[in-house]
Amino acid sequence: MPEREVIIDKYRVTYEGLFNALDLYTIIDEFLEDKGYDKREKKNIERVTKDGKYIELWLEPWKKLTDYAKSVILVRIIMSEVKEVEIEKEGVKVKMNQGKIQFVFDAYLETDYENRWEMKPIFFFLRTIFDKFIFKSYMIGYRNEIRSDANQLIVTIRSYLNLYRR
Amino acid sequence: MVLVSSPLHVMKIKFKGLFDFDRLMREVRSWLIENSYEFQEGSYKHKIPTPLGYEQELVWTAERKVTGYVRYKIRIFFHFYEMNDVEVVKDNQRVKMAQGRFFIEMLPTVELDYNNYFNTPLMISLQDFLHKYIIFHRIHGGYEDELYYRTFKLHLLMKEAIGMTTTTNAARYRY
Amino acid sequence: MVRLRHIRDRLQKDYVDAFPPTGSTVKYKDYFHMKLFYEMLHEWLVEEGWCTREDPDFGEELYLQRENQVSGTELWIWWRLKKKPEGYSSYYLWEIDIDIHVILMKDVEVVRNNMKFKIHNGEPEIKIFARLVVDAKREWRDHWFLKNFHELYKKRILKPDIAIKRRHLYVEAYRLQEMIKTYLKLRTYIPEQEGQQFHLTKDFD
Repeated sequence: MPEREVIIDKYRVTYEGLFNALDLYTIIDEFLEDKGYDKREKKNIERVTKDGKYIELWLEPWKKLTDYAKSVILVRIIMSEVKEVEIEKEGVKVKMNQGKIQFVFDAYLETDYENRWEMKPIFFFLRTIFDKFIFKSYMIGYRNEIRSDANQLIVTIRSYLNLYRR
Repeated sequence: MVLVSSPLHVMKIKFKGLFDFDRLMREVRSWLIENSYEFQEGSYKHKIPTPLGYEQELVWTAERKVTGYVRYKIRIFFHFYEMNDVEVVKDNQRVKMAQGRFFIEMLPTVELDYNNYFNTPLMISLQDFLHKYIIFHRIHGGYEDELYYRTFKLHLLMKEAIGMTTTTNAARYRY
Repeated sequence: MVRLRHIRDRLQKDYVDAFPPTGSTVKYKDYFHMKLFYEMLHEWLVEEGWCTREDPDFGEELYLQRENQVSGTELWIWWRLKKKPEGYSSYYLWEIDIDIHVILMKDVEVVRNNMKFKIHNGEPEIKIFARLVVDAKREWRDHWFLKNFHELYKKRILKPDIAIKRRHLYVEAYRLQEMIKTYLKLRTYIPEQEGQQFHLTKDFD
């Protein structure tokens, strides 16, 4: 029976200004690939409005930590009023985007994702007892790893956005 | 119960705006055929246009036999709403485009024992053992992974055909 | 003596309400398009995994339509939906009840793209009830041994877990409510907009 434990709950980052939507997406995608996460793009919504583009992404990459535990990071990115602008950077004209971005991060520790303990309620009971009391130190290790991955992703995004902050 | 069909994660694309309808459909179909899938159009529904536009609903399925025991299946569901055909000028040329909103859902599935070899109770229990212990990692880490990441390539192709912004895939070197 | 019973007693379920037991209501009086509204809600529910696209699986328990020449159409729609959220054990189940009641609904015509278009004017009221069901399959309460521990286990060991899961349902139910409000162009409060940019609103924008 898979069981999700919340590690990070709705951590929000907002930004308004210059950025490059494709670069931002690439950075997130490559970071997760480098960290060994399997890609999952739950939703990709795009709309062209008179105020600019609206882009909404729901990413839910996961990484198997062991045969029993896996890490899931949920990133929701909402870009609104995204317009194309041209700026001059070191004498070269570069195409960029101007708009608002909102990130929402959640991270979970998912255990028993292979449904090995699903057969009987007694297993569910035993599993909870084992997770909470016997394998406590392992569970702490998993939690720390997930927290560290999610924090690194947040820092990577923030540093990218800081490049363009005026 | 024996696992004979393993649906993977659904991939969704939603778009509202101007796009090249013909290019999208043509490229998806070509990709499926180029990748040795047998393409089937399960249904094509066209609804009476309202002042908002016409509505279309399509179900495509693509199947590919990997071995005599394993088959890949991709089900693609398109739903177009409030569609209007428009002509726009692009690079000094008149191009037919479509304006509307739509969503696409792709569901890749790995099908096992599609020839139904294991059909007696004894064989079914053997099959259960086979799937759970002998080829468990081959199914989940091998076939499922391969189909999943290949479907992502189709996902990227769709995004490019529509003209979406996030057209990149860091996992492009897998499979 | 008459024995008073709560309507949910018949459920014989062990549950925690995510919304107040009386539900959360959105009431509106103006023009709207019933078909688009119905489709939009259905689409959202399919997308969030509350039902599939197959009609027999959809938990529409009641669809009542009463026509009256003076007061127009009255609609009663009851949806009873269940979901086992991704990453949850089968011990838990989410349930949402949606009651749609429309009164005084009349056809009105608007002009769009130089064509006449029929929409509705009426008073829809949408009620949402959300609850987290624990021991959804009654495996614990019917087990000869575990039934002795269930209450203790639920109240001591699983208590924080149940609180988190209830909160997740609460967030999802409010997203649904936000979707309804967005369609009806009412004020919304959730920081992340829900469906504002893909589905049509009552003004078709």
